Amino acid sequence: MDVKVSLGVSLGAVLAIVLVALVGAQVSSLQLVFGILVPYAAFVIFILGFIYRVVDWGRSPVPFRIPTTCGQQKTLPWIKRNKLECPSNTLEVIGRMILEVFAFRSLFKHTKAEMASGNIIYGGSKWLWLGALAFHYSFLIIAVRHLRLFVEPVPAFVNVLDLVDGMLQIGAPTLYITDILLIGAVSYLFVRRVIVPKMRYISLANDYFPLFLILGIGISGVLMRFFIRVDIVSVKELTVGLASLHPVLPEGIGAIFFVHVALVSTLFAYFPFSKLMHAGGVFLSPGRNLANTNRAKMHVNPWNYPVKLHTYEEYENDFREKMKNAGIPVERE
Amino acid sequence: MANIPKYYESLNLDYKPPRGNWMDRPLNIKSGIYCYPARPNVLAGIQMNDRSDWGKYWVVEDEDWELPDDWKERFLNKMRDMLDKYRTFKIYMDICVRCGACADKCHYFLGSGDPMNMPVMRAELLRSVYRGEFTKTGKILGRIAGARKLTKGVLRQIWYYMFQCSECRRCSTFCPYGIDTAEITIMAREIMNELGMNIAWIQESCYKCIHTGNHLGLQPQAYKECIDCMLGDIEENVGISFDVSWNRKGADILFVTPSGDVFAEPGIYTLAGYLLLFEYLRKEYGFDYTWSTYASEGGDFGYFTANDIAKRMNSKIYLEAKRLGVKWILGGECGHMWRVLNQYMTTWHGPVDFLEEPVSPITGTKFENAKAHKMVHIMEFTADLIKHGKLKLDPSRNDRLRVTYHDSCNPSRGMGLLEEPRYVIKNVCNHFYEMPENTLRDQTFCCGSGSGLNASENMELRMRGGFPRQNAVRYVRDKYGVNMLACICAIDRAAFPDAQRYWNPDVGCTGITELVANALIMEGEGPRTNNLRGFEIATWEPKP
Amino acid sequence: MNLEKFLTKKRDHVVDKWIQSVQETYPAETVKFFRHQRNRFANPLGAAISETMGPLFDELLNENNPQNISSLLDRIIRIRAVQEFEPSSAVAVVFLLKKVIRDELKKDIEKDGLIKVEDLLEFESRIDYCALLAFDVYMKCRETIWGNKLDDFIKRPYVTGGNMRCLSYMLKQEQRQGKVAEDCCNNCGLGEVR
Repeated sequence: MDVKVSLGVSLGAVLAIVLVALVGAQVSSLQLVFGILVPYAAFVIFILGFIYRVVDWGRSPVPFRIPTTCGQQKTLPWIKRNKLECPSNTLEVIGRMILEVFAFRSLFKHTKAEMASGNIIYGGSKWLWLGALAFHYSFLIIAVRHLRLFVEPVPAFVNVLDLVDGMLQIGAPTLYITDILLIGAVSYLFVRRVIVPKMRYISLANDYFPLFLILGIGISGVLMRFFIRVDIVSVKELTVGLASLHPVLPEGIGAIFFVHVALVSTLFAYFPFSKLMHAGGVFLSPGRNLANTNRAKMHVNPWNYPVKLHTYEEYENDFREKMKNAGIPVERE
Repeated sequence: MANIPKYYESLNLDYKPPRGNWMDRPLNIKSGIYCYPARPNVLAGIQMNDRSDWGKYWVVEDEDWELPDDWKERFLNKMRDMLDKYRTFKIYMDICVRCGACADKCHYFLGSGDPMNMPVMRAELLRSVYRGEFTKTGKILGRIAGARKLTKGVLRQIWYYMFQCSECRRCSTFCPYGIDTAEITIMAREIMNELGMNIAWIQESCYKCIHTGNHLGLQPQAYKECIDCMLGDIEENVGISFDVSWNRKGADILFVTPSGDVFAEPGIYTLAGYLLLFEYLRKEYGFDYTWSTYASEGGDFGYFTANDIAKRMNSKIYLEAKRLGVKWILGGECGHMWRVLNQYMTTWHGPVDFLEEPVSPITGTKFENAKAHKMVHIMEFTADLIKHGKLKLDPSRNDRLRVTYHDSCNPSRGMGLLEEPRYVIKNVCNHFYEMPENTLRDQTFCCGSGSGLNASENMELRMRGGFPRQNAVRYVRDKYGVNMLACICAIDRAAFPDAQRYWNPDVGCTGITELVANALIMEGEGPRTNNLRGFEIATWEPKP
Repeated sequence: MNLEKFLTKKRDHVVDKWIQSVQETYPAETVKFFRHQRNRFANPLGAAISETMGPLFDELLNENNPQNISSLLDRIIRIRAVQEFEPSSAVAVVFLLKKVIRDELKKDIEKDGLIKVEDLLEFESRIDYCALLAFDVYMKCRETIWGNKLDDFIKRPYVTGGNMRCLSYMLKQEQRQGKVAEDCCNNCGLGEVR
């Protein structure tokens, strides 16, 4: 797939969604579809799809215990072992996974500063780690912040998060740090894919599409908050209604809201069928989530089956005379 | 002089390769990069399945690969089967986000500059087929979703690049999801094995191992003769003569090591090292062990073809231990051997209730980490001996050597054996220097010839792959005057001499036990003027 | 201004251009990586290119000692000898310098015409000689490769492609023009595996 085609297809798809939502927002009967039915459908697809994928992975067995060991194994007691990089029990595996999932440790690994020809050189990949971290955490915080739209009364931690996130106190309504971070990080991840030839070489439409989608979500959200204001009371009425399974459709919510919802719904529905499933897969990845205890504890392969062997008896039959001549003991003379 | 000739411009000195999507780029199969295919009669000899139609001998550079008629069906059926059997395979096909963290971590990519050697692309070769043949979105969206159908051209591409991966797992340590390209290569090779598409170097070794017990195809008397020959050399160089026991029932310990060390330099000196070390232990502490001609192979080239064959070849070790009634098994220095032993062996054949939990008969140390597996690595064993002061050592005999240590991929990334070898080296050598941090331990570079790619016809590939490692060796050579590269892998010992003759012609290669044995003070030894290689210790200049 | 002065003044620029044109003989996806990953262990090939071209240029310009030139060329050519390149493109790195210099000179010569023809011819002859040395290095590398292959063939009698036999068996069989050798030493046991 040519880069231009990949980019065009992805961008086109996102723009099409925006257009459809804009049209839908103008027609009151379609508001029902875009405000209530689509979000519900997307949510159901997301939950069922996610479960299906995880169960599907979970169903396929783990025949062998093959973690990548990145540190000293547990061995003689006087040799210092590396508990996090070469875990030897479940607790240590959890530790390794926490670092992996919450700190992207593997991405960080090759980013330390090094001396080369007299200068400190930082590997370019530190940026990948930073970008990925900024992106995922902003996304998480933004998602949590959105709880205030679905729960009444608003939980205290959401308020605190809100406060912290808006502590720069620029403008009114306050600018959230995470909004900037998210849009910045997604843009970085996107630009990186397009300008680094190596990345362009490996990127597919499946890589550009979610980036455009999330960028669209971010932009529409920011627009809604700062530029094309929507009636927040009505929005909350709708969202609380959705969450409490008593959906209502208040009048006069701006069109931009429907664009935002349509993009989020697309993301939800697309999630289980795409590489975004790495969110679930990372927990199941046998390269990281197993302890290096093969020699201490037997791992059972559910489909282990006997294989044809060249037994010792056959071997001796093949070579008995030669073994005897060479003075190697045999079972039968 | 106003007119500069334009000749060079017309010569097209811009050697820029074609641009565009990788799926459209023509595959350029180059001799020196690929290994020769296995012959049908060898495949039949391995009796992989009940199939007897292993087709014709095919030539890699030919357009027509003489594939069986139902090749596509076989491929896809096997792939479906593997997807159902291995969670690793399924997840690794699904969750890659193409972040590019692995892209520049592969020694073949670094050595060749060929973007198809980026681990993500190697996996993408198979992933595109997975999307195109097994997922709905891929079937509907086609190339937009990065999917494609399996064609003969695609198969050629997969084959060519899957046999340019040494399954070293360096990329997997950098992957945020732990995606293990080695696992994908293993799956791809097993799938292609169904079509008889494997290489001679691997399959011939499997064939011989199945029939004679070792990759070299040494029959029992020949195997014994090789070791007797080593005993003769030891007598000459060390001044003591002794014998070893064969297939002896009732011995305490069975010793298993890769047969690669029985035949070729410098591996044979590592083997001589084992012999001398064990003789020392026998004399001093009554160490009781035996060799076996039936389980005369620790390595497992079957691992580079299919699970089935790997298991068959590996089964001899436990079978022989059971037959001889030993207490536990001691394993020699080898790379993929220990990956297989560590991560597969007990799962294949366990529970291992016919052996005892390994305890060092000399120090009484319990090897807790091997209590289910009942097999101990020679480095764990030796490090324990040294720690307890059980070996009389004279490290100054290795003073001519300035040693650096190459972490072999499999013991480091498939086992976590990092400090034991270093401890041993530091106790038997006075001059030890580490290579740069990002080429060691879990980030170690492959020798360039792993996973059955240490054939001769693919020498260019091996030199490319060996370049990043040799680049680091060259650095310590220039900086510290290093002249010896120590390793704990038989494939390293087979591969490094070639690579070093090419990249670092004044650095030698050795197994660690050879260093141990050279420093070992034997009772009743003659004047130790020569090392195990028969060179004068005082003047020796190591060469690859 | 004579050529030497001119080139000395332009040294960094010319070397950069040369490095760039050598890098560009690799796939576009790879070139960026060569330029940006500066750690010489994480990027050995890129390091070899950027660390060699400068000293090589200086050597050509000043000492012009064949031995030094060969050993500098060795670092680059040795790598290229095992890569995708045809032999001609493997050694063409040297000629790329000619192209760079001509491109540079074009602007300046046409302006003032101060550079003497014989100076340029002299320097180009040095480059030509350097290319010949590159050919020597390339051949040495290739011979080492084939030496390795031959060495493997001799040291690994147990696998030699076609008919896997012990070497002494093969030799004796050859002597007997295809007849099976019964007096093969058969030390390795391979003589009669099949």
